[in-house]
Amino acid sequence: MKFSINQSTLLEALQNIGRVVPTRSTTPILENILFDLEDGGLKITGTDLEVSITTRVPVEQVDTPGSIALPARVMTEMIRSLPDISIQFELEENNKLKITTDKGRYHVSGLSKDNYPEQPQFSDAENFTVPNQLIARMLQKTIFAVSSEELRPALMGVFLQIMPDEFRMVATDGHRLSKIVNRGFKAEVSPLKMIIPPKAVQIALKNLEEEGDTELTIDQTGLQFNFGNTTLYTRLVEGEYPDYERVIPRDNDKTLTVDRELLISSVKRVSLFASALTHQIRLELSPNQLLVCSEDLEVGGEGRETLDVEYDGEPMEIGYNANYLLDILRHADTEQVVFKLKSPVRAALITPTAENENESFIMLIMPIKLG
Amino acid sequence: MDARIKILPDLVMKRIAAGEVVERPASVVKELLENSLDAGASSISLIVRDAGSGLIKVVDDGCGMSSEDAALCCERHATSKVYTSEDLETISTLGFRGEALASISSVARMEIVTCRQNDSESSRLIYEDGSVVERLKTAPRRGTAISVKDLFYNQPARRKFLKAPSTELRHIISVFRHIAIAFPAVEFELIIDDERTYDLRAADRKQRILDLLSSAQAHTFIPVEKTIGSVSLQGLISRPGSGRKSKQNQLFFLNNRFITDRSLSHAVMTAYGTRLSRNEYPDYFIFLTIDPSRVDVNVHPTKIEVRFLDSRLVYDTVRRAVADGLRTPAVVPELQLVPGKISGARRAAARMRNPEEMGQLTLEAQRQAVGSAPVVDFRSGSRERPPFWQLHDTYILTQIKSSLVLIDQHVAHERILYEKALASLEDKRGISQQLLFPQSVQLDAGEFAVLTDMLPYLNDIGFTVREFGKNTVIVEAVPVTMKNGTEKELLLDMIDMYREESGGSDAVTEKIAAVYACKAAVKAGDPLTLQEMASLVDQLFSTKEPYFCPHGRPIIINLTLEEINKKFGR
Ligand SMILES: Nc1ncnc2c1ncn2[C@@H]1O[C@H](COP(=O)(O)OP(=O)(O)OP(=O)(O)O)[C@@H](O)[C@H]1O
Ligand SMILES: [Mg+2]
Repeated sequence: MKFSINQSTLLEALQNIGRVVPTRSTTPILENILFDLEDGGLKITGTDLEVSITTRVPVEQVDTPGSIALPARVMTEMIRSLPDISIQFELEENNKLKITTDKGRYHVSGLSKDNYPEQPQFSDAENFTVPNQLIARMLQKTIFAVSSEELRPALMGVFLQIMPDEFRMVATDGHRLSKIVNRGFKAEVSPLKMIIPPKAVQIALKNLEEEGDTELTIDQTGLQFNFGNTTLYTRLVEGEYPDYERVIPRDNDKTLTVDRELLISSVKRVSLFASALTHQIRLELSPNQLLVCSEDLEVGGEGRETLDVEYDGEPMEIGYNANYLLDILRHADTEQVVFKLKSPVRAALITPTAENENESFIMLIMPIKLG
Repeated sequence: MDARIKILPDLVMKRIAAGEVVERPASVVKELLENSLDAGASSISLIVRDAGSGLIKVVDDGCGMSSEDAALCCERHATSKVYTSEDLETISTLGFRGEALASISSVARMEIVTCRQNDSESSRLIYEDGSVVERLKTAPRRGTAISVKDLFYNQPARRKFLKAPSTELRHIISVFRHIAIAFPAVEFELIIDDERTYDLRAADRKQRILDLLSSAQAHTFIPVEKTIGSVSLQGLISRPGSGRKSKQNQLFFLNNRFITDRSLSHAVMTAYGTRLSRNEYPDYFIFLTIDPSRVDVNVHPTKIEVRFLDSRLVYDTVRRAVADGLRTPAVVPELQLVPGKISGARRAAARMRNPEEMGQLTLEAQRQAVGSAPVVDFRSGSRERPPFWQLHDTYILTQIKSSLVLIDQHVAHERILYEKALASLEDKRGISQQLLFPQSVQLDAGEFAVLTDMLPYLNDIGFTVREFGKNTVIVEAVPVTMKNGTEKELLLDMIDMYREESGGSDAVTEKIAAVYACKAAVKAGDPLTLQEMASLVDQLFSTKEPYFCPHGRPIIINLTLEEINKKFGR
């Protein structure tokens, strides 16, 4: 195994792969990345057993094919510290890799490929293609609401559902929920459901080009994004996604319309005075006026701001976790947002004032009951 | 020279608590050691063979006796320590009954070798059945050596009732330890079957105690001190959570005499309160100094029980001394505090009665870095020094001036939640996060009954739990402080724990708060982000008791640079 490659090309690949490589793992081999020199180029792979990325990069002077697992951190640091020059790699005896530049020579100890986990194989896989813009938007609008609670694993991912006439994604952690549905896109695939772990979603968002389409491969247990030279594979989260439709309120009859940016900055300021433990802020609604307030009984701080809004319901006070509320507001992308409310203990429905064509996007937040 | 020992007049005799003092070998040891101390010895050896039934020998360098006194000392009521009834009111010696040697010499073979400062020879007397059978003169050696052989040789019934040698030996050692602790300025040596078990140099009180304990316990003491009126107290108490499982180091001393007193033990335990976990027995060494005229040691022949004239005052002094001791910052192992500014501990400092003394943790710089940085792997050691590290997903490590601080994440969070929950129970204003997916929880009849008891309190903390058909409840809201998504497990765990803890003396509210805190807190093994660690530490320092969890386990351990340097031999 012998080849040479440009520093910048290699570094870019290593950094992308680095996103899956665990920094501390009970399985130390996972702290390595795999170099496979094939006839078409160099294939670099990293995995944490749940998510794997493989990238193919062009190399010069291909010699005999070969493979080796190398410590990810050392390699990345090493390549990062070099200028953009051509670097030669040569595999020597005993899994030692010799790295040569015009100035220096380095040896890295690697491990034989046999130690490295096998790539997962698909069975009965189906392929379909989605526009990059669509999938990126839908993932972005949902990922923030994914739960990190391991005791309810099904919530630990973005739920993706393909039906004959719609494509939808949902995420919830039991305190808030985001659901986005597109009716314009028809996937050439049988109806399916899956739960995608957030780590894979984040890496996918980094790898999705702005334009064009991406091919997805899917089977019972895994999903693969095929982005040109890079493939991202993820195991799917097992379990039944909860019946979220049931908890989306249909009878919220009070409507609050508010300027999104103004509310975001108010909530941000006021929440500085909220309890660090609960992040609780209070919205006091009265006709066409919204009072955002918080107090931290322990430190004795408090904040209050008044906003002009459109509100027609009876006066009401509702508590929210400021962070949840901010997350939601940041993801609604119109100038104004609409809150549909029922009571201080029921879910609020938040939507942008205008919908994209063929799209419906709603978010839900559960209140904090004021003591 | 005049004989100093006199036989007590009848009148005085009658006022002395009567009774047998020689119950077992350890009683002999106690009497002989006390005599040596009363004789002003500065160095005492105790030699024991066959768990005391073969030989008990005490050699001292005290004042010694004249040959006349030596002949008299084994008479009943022969003493040089009290002469009149009035003397009994102000006893300042350990002995005063003139009984001990008489009793011992009648149940064993005894030999006394004694010599005063300027005597030209020692007197050696051999006793049998209480009378002198032989008198000799030997070379002068200041002090007294008393050997007691074949204890109970003439009382086969008593001899038979002795416990196993190991038990008798244990009693002997414990008497020796009590006396050694009471008189740290005196050198003691204990030789058991030709093996030197203890060799104690003259020391101060604390050092003497540490010399007697294993060195592992050395770091865990808090000094206490208090004077109220005529009662003054000094002592050492162990930090809660030091994990002691036995009561053998729960000792009271009154005017240098080891005593037992259940009401005083109670005073100490009351002061520890909930800081102790179940089955934890703190060590304590409490030294009381009270004017001898305000105490009566003449209650029991072994003088181990005493009566206080001002018993309420003594009780309060003990309880308050311990309570104050447990409240001081010194309760954190060697926390070295530096005056400085930080935001995290600001609230804590504001609550502290004496913020200057407490100082503040210099976390500010570290806190600024908190936020975007990734979780740092403690092993890999990054280039910039990160503010917090998580060790084995269990401990939070951070540094303050000249030391490394380790925080147990679970107990830290537990303390935070406990105080929150208690506050909510008090003002009934628990804040609830409503759940999008209400959880129904199926219970068995027993669990359901327990939950029904807990329900009003749970709702005060911030749960909304509704009964929903037979043995089923629905959780609609949880306290905001709770981690996301564990409602069902939490409820079941809480029921279990509440059931186990029933009984106990704690108020229901405290129990509920403790159960909730324990079950809802992050666990050992939960990875935390830097931000979470920072916030946890912040909140911890705004609790009333950042150093101990509701069960009494320590939350913060401090490893000083000094200690670390020592380990590295610097
Ligand atoms: N080691 C000793 N050195 C000097 N004098 C001693 C020693 N042991 C005993 N004596 C003398 O013998 C006396 C009798 O001792 P004994 O222990 O029988 O009585 P006590 O110490 O006076 O009272 P108690 O019965 O309460 O111990 C003492 O009062 C003391 O004068
Ligand atoms: Mg005596």
